[in-house]
Amino acid sequence: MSDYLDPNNEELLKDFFMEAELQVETFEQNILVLENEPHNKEAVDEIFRAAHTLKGAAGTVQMDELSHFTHLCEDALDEIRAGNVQVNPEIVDTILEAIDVIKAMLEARIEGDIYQEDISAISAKLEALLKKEAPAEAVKAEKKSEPAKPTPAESTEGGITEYELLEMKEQCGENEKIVHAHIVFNEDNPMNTVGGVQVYAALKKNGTVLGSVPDFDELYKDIFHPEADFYIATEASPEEIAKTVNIPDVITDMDISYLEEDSAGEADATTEAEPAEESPAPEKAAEEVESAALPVPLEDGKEGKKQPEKEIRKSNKGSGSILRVDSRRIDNLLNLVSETVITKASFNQISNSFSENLLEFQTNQNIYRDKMKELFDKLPDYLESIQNGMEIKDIKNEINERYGSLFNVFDELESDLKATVAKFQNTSQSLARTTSELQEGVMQIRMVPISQIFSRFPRLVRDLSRSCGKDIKLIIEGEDTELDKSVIDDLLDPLIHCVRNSVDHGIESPEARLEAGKPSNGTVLLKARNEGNMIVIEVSDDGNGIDVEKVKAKAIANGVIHPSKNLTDVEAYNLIFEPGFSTAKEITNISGRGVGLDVVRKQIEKLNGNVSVYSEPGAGSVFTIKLPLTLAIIQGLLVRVGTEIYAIPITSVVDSHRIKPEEIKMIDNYEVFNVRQDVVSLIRLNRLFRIPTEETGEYHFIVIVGSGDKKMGLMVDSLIGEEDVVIKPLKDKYTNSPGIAGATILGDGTVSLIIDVSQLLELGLKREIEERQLREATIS
Amino acid sequence: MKNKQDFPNINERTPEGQKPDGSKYRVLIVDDSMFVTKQISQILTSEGFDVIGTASDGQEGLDMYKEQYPNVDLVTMDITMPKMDGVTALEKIIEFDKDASVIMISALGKQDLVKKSLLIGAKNYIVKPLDRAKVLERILMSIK
Repeated sequence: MSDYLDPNNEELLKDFFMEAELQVETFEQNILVLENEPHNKEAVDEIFRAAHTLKGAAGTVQMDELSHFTHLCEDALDEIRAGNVQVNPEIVDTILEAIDVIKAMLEARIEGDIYQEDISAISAKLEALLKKEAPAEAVKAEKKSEPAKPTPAESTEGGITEYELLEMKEQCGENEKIVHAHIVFNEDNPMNTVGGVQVYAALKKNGTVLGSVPDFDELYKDIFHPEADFYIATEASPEEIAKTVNIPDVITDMDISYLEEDSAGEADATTEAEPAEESPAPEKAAEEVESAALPVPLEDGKEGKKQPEKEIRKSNKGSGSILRVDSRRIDNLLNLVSETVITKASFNQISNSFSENLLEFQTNQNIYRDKMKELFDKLPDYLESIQNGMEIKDIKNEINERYGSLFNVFDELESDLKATVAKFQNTSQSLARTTSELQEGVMQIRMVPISQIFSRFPRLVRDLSRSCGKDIKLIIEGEDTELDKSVIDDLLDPLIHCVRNSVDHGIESPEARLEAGKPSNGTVLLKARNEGNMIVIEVSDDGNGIDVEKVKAKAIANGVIHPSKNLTDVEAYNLIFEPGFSTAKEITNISGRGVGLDVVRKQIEKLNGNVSVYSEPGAGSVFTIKLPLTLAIIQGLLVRVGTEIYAIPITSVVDSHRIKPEEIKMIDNYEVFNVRQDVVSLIRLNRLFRIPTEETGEYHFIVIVGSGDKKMGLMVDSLIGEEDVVIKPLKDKYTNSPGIAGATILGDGTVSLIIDVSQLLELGLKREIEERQLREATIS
Repeated sequence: MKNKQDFPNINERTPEGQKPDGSKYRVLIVDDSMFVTKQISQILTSEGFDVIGTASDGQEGLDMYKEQYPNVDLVTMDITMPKMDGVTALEKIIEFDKDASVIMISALGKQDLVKKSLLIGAKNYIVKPLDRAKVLERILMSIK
């Protein structure tokens, strides 16, 4: 087994980085809390704890640059905690900058490098924080630098007066004697100021500590005392006391004896204890290890090569993500698995029962056959008997008597078989229950609270709002909402984009806000909630809202829509998700870098979700992102086209209709049909996927699918129904098939393709137009 | 030539975590750092101790101690923890069982808290970063 204490142990490092990340996050979050509530003591404590833990952990893995730097931060934070420094935005800026350095240091180490950047600027800033309260600090430092040495007179047993001795004797119990312990402390102990109290505590267990030189209050101070004398009233012998007091590392020498004998001159009872042995070896070894841990400096000529290497490593970083799972969820799974195992055992039993049933059946069948054969053989005899004048009644009786058992040959088998079948049904029911619970359980393992990404936003919003001179408050709601880990990972970028958009374009400058009669500080609300099988995330702001006219004008200018097109406001708002759309007048470095909200929509749709925006002029806008809880299982609407079965993600299904062929109309070479007030264009899936079918049914089935504001009718042969489908990714070769998102295996083993609606919308339009052009060309 | 003494038979040594009667010492680790918890637990299990539980804050540690009582031989207690800090947890554990063996785990700079803990009744303390030899030494001292 590899040694977990080895600073180079991979597992140790992995754990360290994971934990460090958590600490940095706590650090950052609470600094932001502190900025808003400078007197929040809990936040200060949390920050302090995080910095402290980080420092300790960095020491363990010998990340000295980090441990030194965090130490500096800790000192600065101490000033804040002590109330010597008032929290203001500049200080928060400094600390956030420091956090960034810490992050960079960690990142460098993750990649196997050591942070090389110059940190003197930020260090100086942190130190400046310390110096603000220079006098107090100086005094403190002085105290520390000069271990208060007790005067020689105190350090000997002469430190107590005769009177004090008498007093102590009075306090002594009947069987107790006064023991004098002279202790020499080890200055090299990292916590050398604790020794006095530690010895005091140890002695207390043996009896009553009557007094000490230096006295208890002095020992309790954060000062190193090289020596101390203790007087204890105790029944224990000096040897016994020596045993309890001999604390390795803490004490280098001690001299314990009865007080009377002591004063009578160093007598036999004196116990000289061997100083607890200290081993410098491990430290040395650790040093060696450390030097080995440093990456070997690259030779001069290779300097240029270093950069690309780093890049490559960076790109690999995200691949092995770690999932933290509540152990209860795993326990639950284990439970379910054990239930499955039991079910398996039951199935084995059932299988045995069936074999027995079969055997029973065969035996009974043989009996039955033999009897039947006998009966048939006997028939001529009976006929003869009848002809010979025997009474039919008598023959009937005889047959009944001899072959009556034929009726109930299978009775026993039947009841046995019934029992087995009942057992089978029970067990398969319980299997179904367990598997569905198991499926849910495994899904739950992948579920993580959305706070994992929400937690990034307070810092983001703060930095953004400061850089654009706006005063913005971020409110986060529903951060406990859980969703699939893989969804979370891909959700961050689109969310950042939306929030940036709100901060940059949504919220107005404080002046403009005051003019509009709103409070000068804007609010951005980040909210997540569950809605059935979906998760809904809203990013809303109380800014200026979206200017419909501007959007329309821009869309027309960019050729996104036709000037004559009549749009509702909602449709107009959603135009901002069209590619190449950015209405910001000037390009800021926050948003409007040529990448528009169309990227957001694309990414969300990749997650099988959809995004929409609603706005009220002057009152703000709301981005709503809807996502499935998980990517692996979706609800699908199964449809039949020819002999093929396709699954359409239910999230993109708007409606389904049954129409007569004559309801299909042609407009501008498009096949369309009317749904209430709307006109929806049609795609015949059979033509699109080139599946030969007769299009002569009395009715056509249309599934209306939509993404964003686009809608389209898919014509299919029939609707089968809704079902949970497990998405299986298609092998590389087929991933390019446009319009197909994956495949699934249905209950009966048929493979069904899953339709990628957003792709299909684009594809369908293109394909239909091309084919139509082709047909027209051949006709003419 | 190396003689036999250079190759001590490891089987001759009984693991430190074993009581004279052959059963294992039972240890409860209370630390909010999973990382430290793992370190301590690795040191201890390698020496044959039985780590009967780990708690990530003082309250949890206290609850576990009460639950497992009297089957806990030793508690290692971090000082700075969320919800309930180590010193408070120590206080409550000692209140509940005055003979409890608790060792404080502290980072540098927490001298006052270490002193406080020792006076409350902590058996000893260990300063982070942890060192295998020292951890074992202090722990053994506190239970034997």
